[in-house]
Amino acid sequence: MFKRNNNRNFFGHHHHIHHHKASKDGSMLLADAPAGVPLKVSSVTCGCGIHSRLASMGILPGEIIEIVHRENGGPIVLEVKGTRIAIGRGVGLKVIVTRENNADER
Amino acid sequence: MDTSFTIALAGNPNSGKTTIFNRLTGAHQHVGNYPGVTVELKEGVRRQNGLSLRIVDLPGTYSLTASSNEELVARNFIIEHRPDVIIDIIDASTLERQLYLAVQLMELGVPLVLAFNMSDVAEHEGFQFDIPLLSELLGVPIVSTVGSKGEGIDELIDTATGVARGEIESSPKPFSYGRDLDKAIERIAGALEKEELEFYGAIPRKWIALKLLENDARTLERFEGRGGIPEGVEKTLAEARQRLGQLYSDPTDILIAEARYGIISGAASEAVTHTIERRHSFSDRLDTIFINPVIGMPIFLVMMYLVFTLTFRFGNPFIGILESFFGWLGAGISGLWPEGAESPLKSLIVDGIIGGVGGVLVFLPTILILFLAIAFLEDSGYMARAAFIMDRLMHRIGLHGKSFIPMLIGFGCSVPAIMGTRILENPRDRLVTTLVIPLMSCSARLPIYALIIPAFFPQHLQGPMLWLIYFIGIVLAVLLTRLLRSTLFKGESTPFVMELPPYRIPTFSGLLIHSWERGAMYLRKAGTLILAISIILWWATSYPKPPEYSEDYEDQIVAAEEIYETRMEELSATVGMDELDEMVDGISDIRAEFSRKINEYRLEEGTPEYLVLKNEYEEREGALEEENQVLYSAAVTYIEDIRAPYETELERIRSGMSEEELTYSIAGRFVNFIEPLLKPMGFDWKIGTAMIGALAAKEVFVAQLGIVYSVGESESGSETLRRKLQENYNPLIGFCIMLYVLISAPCIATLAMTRAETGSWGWALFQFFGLTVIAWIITTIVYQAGSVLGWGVT
Repeated sequence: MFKRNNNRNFFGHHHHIHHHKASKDGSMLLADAPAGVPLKVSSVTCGCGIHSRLASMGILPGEIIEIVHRENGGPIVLEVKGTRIAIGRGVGLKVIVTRENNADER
Repeated sequence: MDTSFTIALAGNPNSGKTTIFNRLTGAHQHVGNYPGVTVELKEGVRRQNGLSLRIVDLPGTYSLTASSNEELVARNFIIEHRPDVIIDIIDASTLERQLYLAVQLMELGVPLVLAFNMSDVAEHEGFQFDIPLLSELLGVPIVSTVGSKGEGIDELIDTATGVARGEIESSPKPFSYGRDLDKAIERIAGALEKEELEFYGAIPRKWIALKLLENDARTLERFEGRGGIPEGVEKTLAEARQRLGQLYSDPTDILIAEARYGIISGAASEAVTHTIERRHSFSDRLDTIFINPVIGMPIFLVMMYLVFTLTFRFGNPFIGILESFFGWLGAGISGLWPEGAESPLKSLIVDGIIGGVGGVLVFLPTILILFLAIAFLEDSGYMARAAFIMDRLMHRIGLHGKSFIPMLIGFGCSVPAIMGTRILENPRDRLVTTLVIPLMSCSARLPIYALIIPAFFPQHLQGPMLWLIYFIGIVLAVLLTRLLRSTLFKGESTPFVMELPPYRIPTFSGLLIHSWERGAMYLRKAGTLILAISIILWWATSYPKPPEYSEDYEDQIVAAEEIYETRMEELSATVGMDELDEMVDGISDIRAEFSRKINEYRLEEGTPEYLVLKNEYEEREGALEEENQVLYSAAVTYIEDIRAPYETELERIRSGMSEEELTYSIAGRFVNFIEPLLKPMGFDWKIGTAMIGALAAKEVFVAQLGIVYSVGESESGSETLRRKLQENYNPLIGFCIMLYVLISAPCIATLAMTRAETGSWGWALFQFFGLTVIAWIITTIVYQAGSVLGWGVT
């Protein structure tokens, strides 16, 4: 009876097509993460001393951050420890985050 | 009893440290003298309660790692100079991030006082601090301050001096980095204690152990420079690393960073409450506009346009005033010598010093205004957003987003622009940006364009031509950057990580201080190296003097004077000299005003507006004539038949003399020597000498060209000069001149600044000669191609 699937579920809503961004344990690159939700930093890929730079800004494993503003393929503005930090796209590819579901409700 | 303590101020950028420093030291501040330090340390003095306090403003840093110059300078100052107490200025509204630096300062073991600054903002945001408890948990005294209002400053200083005297306790609680790390640190510290490490003096061995575990580059360097890490230590270190590697997946420096934040959040959770949730809301709302992908960039362009228009509109009147001032000064000093006397000293002072340095100082007001505008953008927080917007573009060229800020300044003047490259953390980014900045056509080149463009191009092409020149500069900068990045400066782009401070209304005093700092640097450069080179250039263009001239100028001067005297005698027989003076002044004023209006409104001969104006002034002269016809015609005779020919003749003689002197001088001979290089670009010897003059400061180009074409200092100077240019050259050459001026060797002030900022003559000369060579190649190609294709060759 339903001839075409078109990614609609029973209620007619589109599934957002994930490009395999989230792996099985729910971790993803910061560059691909959604804005406006609490994210937990799980690791920072090493390279060009970036992790100490990020650490001094408060971005290190275990920290809860949130993307405040982003554009496609461009720099990202994060909220970290109450401050606004802007990072370039390249940096966003080096930070791995997971969704933080049990963060404090805002 | 005048004891003296040294107090160092540390803190994050944007924490209000500078404001507090200024409050503490007021006008009693200067740049500290620390050789070999590339980041300047400001110092000041404050008298408090009979004590003389030396206050040092350390660079604003987020941390004390070895990754940036600022951090190293701050750290090394503490290690080498052991201040009696450090005040860490903290933006209380972002406490947890700011304390990261505080913790590292505590690790160094120097007595510490924390200033919870911007406490008014923190209160407004709903933060409540249990200060006594926090102070106890951390083990250091804490003082609340509001730097911008001056609140708490006295208490802060009193606490600091109390700590320095040993009356108030500041002993950071030894904290734990976690059991495994603690053990590792202890063992390594123990191994270090056994060694002789005088170069670290009284620095806690635990700190060194921490640094070694963090793989701190500078620490490793220090050990390398002294024969490497001692064996015992190396062994313990390796063991510790191995054990930690087995226990944890994260590298040790991350573990340590995590531990620090752990300590901080531990203390914060006990002593800090936060009632209002959503902070930053106002800033965020503004950001939706300013960082908006669609309107962010246009807004940015509008801002930049505003900055420049304002700068030039308010700055230009000053240029005129200062030029008059220096002209007056020069004339005044010349007057100290008897009329017509030839004195090397006089020439040195008037032409060399006042001419050279004055030419650079004339731009000071314009530069100050530009800096004021930029300081406003920075202090308000907008600049960070602008760098954010520009990052993508800059990244594609191979530069950091923040690079655009110094490049922007470069459109005003390269000297402060190069100074501005300090905001880039990566030395490679700094260097590339510095090398390329001269291509941002600075304001000194404008007089050259303003001379050449109207001389060779019709009205409707003039605007586009100017724009074209600027555009070429930018395009070349992009190309050159890419070239440099793919050859000499290979490597990954610096990661873009930047704090976006909340928007703030800048304080007036803050703006003045920030812009004056940069202006003072410009002044200092003018006062030192430019002065030296101005003198050298003056010497090279004046000496050696020809033993005799081709014409008998002395006799000619005497002859001209005699004619003048004779004619004046005749005239004085018909009218009284005093009344004549009055009438002459009257007529001259009218004519001068007419000339000025013509220039100001840029009226062309024959246009209706021109004729209307001419009519008006002719009528005014006519009124004078009616008053006293005899006197009037005598005055006109004087002006047109006596004074004018006399002055023209003197000009001719003087220019002839200086032209010959120039030819005979070192500079002249040098230009003669390189003439074969000038020809392919379409240039001749006269342009060449003007170029040499332009080395001192670009503005000199026009003056020098005036000299070689025997065009005097009279009001219609540039008109006459333009006509001479038209007679001798063509639009293609005109364009090539501008092209060469745009690209070639920057002025010596820039050279000096590059040397100062890069710390080596090598890069400065590389920039100097590199740009000149590129300029030569491109101009030659353009000229040759243009000639062949018949462009602009009338």
